[in-house]
Amino acid sequence: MNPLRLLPLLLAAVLLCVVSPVTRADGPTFAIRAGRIMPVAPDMDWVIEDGVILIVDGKIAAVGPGSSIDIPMDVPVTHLPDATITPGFVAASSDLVGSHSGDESIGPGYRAVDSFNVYGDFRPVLSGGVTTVHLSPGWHRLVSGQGGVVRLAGPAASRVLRDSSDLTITLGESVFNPPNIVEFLTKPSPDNAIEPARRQRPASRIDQYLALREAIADAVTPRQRGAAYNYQSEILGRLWADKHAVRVQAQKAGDIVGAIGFLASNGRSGYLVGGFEASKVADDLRSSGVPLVYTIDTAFHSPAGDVGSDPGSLVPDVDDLSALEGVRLALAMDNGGSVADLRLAAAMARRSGLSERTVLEAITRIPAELLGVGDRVGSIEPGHDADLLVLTGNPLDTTTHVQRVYVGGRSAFQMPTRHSLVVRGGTIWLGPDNWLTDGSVLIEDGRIVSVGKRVPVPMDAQVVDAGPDAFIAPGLIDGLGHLGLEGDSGALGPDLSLAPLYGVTEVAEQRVAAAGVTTVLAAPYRFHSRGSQITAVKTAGNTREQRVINATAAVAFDVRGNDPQSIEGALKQPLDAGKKYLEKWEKYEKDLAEWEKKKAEGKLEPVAKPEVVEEPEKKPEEDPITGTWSVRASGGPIPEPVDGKVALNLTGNQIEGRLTDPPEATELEHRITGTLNGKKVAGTVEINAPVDLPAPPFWEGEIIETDHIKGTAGLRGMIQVDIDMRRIDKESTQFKVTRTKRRTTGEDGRPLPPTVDDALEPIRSLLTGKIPAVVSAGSAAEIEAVLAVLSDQYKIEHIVFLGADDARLAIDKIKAGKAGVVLPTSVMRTEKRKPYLQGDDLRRNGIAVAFQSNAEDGARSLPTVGLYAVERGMSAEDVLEAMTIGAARMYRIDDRVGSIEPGKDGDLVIYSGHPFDAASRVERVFINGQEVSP
Amino acid sequence: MKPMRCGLIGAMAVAACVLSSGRHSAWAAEPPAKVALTGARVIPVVGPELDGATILIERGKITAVGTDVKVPFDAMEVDCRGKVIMPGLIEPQSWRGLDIANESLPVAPFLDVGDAMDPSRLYFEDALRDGITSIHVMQGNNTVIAGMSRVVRPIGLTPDEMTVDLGTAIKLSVSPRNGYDRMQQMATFRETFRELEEYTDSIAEAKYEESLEKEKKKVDVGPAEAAKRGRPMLKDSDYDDKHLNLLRLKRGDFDTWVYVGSPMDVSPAIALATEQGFLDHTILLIGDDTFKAIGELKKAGRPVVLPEDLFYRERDPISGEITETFIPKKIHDAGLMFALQPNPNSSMAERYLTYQAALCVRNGIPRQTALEAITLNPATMLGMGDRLGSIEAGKVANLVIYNGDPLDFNSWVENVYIDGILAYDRKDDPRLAEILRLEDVGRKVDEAKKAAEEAAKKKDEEKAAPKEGDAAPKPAEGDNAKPAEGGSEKPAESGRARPRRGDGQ
Repeated sequence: MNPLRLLPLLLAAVLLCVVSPVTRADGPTFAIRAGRIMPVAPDMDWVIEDGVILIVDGKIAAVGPGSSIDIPMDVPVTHLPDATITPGFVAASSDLVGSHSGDESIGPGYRAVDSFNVYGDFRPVLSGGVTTVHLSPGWHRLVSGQGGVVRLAGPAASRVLRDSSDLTITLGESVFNPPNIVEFLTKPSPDNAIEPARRQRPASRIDQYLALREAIADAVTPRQRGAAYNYQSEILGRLWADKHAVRVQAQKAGDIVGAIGFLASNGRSGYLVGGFEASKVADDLRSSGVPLVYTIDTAFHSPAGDVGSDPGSLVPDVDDLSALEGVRLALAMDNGGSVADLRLAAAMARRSGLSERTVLEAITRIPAELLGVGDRVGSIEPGHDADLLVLTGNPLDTTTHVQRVYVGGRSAFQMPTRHSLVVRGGTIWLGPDNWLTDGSVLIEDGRIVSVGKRVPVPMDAQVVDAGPDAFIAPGLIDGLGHLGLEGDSGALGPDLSLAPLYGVTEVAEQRVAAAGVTTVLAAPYRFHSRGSQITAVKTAGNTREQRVINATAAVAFDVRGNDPQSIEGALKQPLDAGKKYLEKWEKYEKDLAEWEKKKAEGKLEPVAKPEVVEEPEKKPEEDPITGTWSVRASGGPIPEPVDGKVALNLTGNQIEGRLTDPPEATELEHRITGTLNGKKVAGTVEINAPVDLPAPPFWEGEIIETDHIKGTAGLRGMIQVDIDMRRIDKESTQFKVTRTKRRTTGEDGRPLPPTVDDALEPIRSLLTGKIPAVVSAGSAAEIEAVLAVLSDQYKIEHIVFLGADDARLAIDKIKAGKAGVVLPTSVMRTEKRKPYLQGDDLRRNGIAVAFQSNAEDGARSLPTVGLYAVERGMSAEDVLEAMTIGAARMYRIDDRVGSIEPGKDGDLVIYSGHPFDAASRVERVFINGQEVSP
Repeated sequence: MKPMRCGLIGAMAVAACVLSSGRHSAWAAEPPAKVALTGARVIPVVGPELDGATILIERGKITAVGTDVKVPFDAMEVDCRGKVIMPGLIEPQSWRGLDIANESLPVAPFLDVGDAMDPSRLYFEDALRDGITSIHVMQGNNTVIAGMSRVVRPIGLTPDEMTVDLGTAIKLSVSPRNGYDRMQQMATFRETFRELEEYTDSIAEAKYEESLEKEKKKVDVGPAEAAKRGRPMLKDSDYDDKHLNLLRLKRGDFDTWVYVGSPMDVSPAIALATEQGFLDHTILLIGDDTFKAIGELKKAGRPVVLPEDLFYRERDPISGEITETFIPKKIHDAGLMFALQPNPNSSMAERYLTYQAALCVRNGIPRQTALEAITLNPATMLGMGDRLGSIEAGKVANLVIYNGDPLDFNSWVENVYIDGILAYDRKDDPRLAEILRLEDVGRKVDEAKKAAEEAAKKKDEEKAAPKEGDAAPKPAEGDNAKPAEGGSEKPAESGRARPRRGDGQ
């Protein structure tokens, strides 16, 4: 290529690098489009439906309804239609760093951030939705130290939001009687005497205020000449002079009142933390205007502590919060509680009557403001850090989980997915006359696991809340279609299934799936005289295993237009062959059962040698194969070409032969078989080999010119060699062959199964009642003739009539034969020029019906057919049944599809209303628990 | 000129020496004037490896290295053909020569490890046997500010005799000591350095007043101004021990080795060092997962002493998967100088420095870097890069002679020269013989044989000539006992009996 032509490309690449937002170092730039956004910002809507958050360099640039925000072209968008987005939670109290180990009762020099691991992996906490945490220096000293505020993810240097957010003071029993201080003297001397341990205060409740006042007074007074230097006092003096925020930790009513008094008398603003007995002094709190971080005592991980009958004991109860109306409230976990449980603990606070709004604000915006980080976290507002939670539903619902956490726009936690899905909706149609209102369905690994009002919601589940108006039904089943045939109208024999046609969803198939038709009974356009297979297949999926429900779901025959007299003969031919085949199998199974019984009893007799019979080979006529061929094998693992001779005989298109040279090959009992297909030959070499081969060796080739075959042979997936064959003699070799009669028993006398005949296997399944017989019939005479053969003679239990145009005239017979009918594509029929609704007619007579598309991707209109049938007068319930469980039962695939029950496949369709309400549309489709893209 | 010989240092050897011959004075004695180690493969650590090279040692110093060095006529030539010589290994820091690792005082910069060193520790003997010729004896990590360290050689009977360098460095630990948490650890640092300022002010103020008193003037300024004026007048002698060493630490008179046991400690450590002005004199001792702060380590650009366990394994809290990190690779990739430590707690090969280096090579670090990490790098970190750590003319003759490549695990230390003195000879290592039970078994067999022979002789020559001295060895074996040829003998063969030193004396 001319390099000049590359130049614009290069330029574009360079430009892209320059302007691409991804290359900016500060933070990621992207947009989130989500089902619901709860910004928790004071001047924004409480909930933004279908909202967008634009994040630039890790900061929120814009937030609002999707319609109001322009997302730049180069910004990647994350679509989260089922998610609720909230700000990351802010825990205004935590014991994440524990208490400091210093002895000083007045220890403002201890900074909690010193103990924070900026490299820590806090995903277990982030998984609870908490992104910002206050670090407390402890509850064990009067002046406990300096608190800090950190976020739990992101680059180490960015994690500390405030290294000193407050001067923490603690009141109450926990600070009484601190340890004595022992000063180490390195060189004691008469001038520098060893003194007894210094006692510390406070000793009692009243003393704590006194000790505090004195410490502050001491700290703010300039040091006297010669007075000992005291580091802690110096820090206290500095913090106090700077009017540092004061945080008072207190639980008991008396201490809370004392704290309010302390703040007021010193003219300090601050906030309270703890407040177990706050409700007792709610009035004082309200009138003082001091905010409270109420710490919730939970028993999620261990039972509540025993308090006994001591009336002075604290019995924290989250129900008491109702008295705190009007107090600026934040919620946090009590010491010892796991910060990760904040969401659930806060949700419990609603018991006391707090609104959802108050509670959510109490773990986001309010604590962020109290901690002095309200301009960065706590709400989704432009300019704030992109600390966001992706939740599966309402943040305060018990079964809601955190799916993903962003901190500074970077993904900080991602719930590992396990392919579980929970679908909720106003109405769920489980099966005929079995409706569930406000229920949900849990699907795991593609199967329905649980159905009910309240199903388990695994932590990692995708939750789809379809809303109260939604109608959820099983995916529809097309009673007969030709999905994937692409117009190929050949009649497939009974040995061929359509299953190999299906793999990854194709566009046409996806169209059918998106219409809510999740299963198709796929059949060839024309049926073979010896029967054709019908395959039950899903309309979407990624692998054949996911797609194919049953490769042989039915055997189909066509008797239309036949003389009713000849129907019997036509049907009998394959059925008789099948019957013989079945009898062989039945004998085998009987023999096997007997053998096993004998074996169990230890009565097995010694096995006689397998009899050997001589079977002369028939002399074949002159043909392109028969004769002696020289064979040269080369390539693969063979170092040098090997020559040999093979004698082949052709009968019809079947090839049979032996190796005649080299001599050692002839000693090995073997038989070459194959088929001639036009110019192509393919087959296997059956060897009575002393070793177990994974499969018989194959050989295949093509007649490239007369008397010359080129091809390959070997073991599939292991060895492959090239073979070159030339006919050297056209005479059929009259070799004397001995052939061991097929063994009927194994070495230990165990009966061996008969040879599998692919063409008769479907008939065997049919005769054993595993699959139905599908018969395309029109006139009443045909129907009756079919029933006479199948039902009366062969006692086939499951018969499905395809079309059965004149079924009305043979209702009694159909009923007697317990047959079902797949209705013709046109639901309306006429009898004596009078139109009638065939489906309804049969249903009323107790005959099972199903609908068919008789089309490939035209099956997408199946719901419309149902809609029309309902409009013509059939009950919507009957149509839905016919299109779901009715069709499934007819084809005996009702163990997998057709209704919403535990154990069945996760094939669901969410409609905006009843599927046969003309106004309702298909909202979403799930097949095997995986959503089909619309 | 005969090299003075002594076997092992350690309780047994010391006792034997004291009792037998007073050889302990060897370490005070002059090294042999000239020794030439010839024919060995030399790994000088600086420059390419040399085959069949000669190392000339004069009065404890290396004077020449090369393949074309002529052996002076008056030099004692030691045939080292088939051997590999590399510089003596350096243990970058260890407390194991001390009776305890740390005092209970959190801030004790006035301590000196020399006061707690015990030359009879088996550790020194083991170090010598493993080819370690220099040990930086330093307090453990269970401290806030520890005492002064020393660089010693693993030979000598008193701490001072062993000492090569005094007051080498001080250890700081940013990771909390026992009973402390990080809040207290960091508060203690802040308090200590803040208190140093207060103390300096107070003595400066006193000094200023004193100076006025001399001139019979009255104090004319407030305390703050007095302190300010007094400060330039202060001399080191005005400080007490505790504060003096803190002052010297800040001033950079010696290096500060800072233990950062966790990644979260790196940033505070560097902030502290920057604030107090000793960052340029800082060596970082890292813990097992400190490498996670590689960005900050790289930015600081200070040399790093690696933890004893070179692999870090971690389980993901969500997925439960275990990840393994090879720490030296992370440090090397960041372009930082590093030193390796032996792992004394391992009963496996990690307790050999050479194995640690070999482990590095196996995990993708160049051989040269791995060799430097056990020789030249620790020497440089100790400020002794001009004296130790490589085989170059002018450097101290601390040499290790291996019977094969030092990084080959099948190789062992044959001889160790410290300051040009043959300090260790594998063949003269009774404890090793005891451990390996090789000599022992051999000797027993030999003794039994000898007893049988003698019994036979007795029978034969009952009336004949006087019998041979029972302790006198055969001439060939007797060579081993002759100090003069100690350096030139072949490697000991296992199971071969030799008389113990002193048997004939």
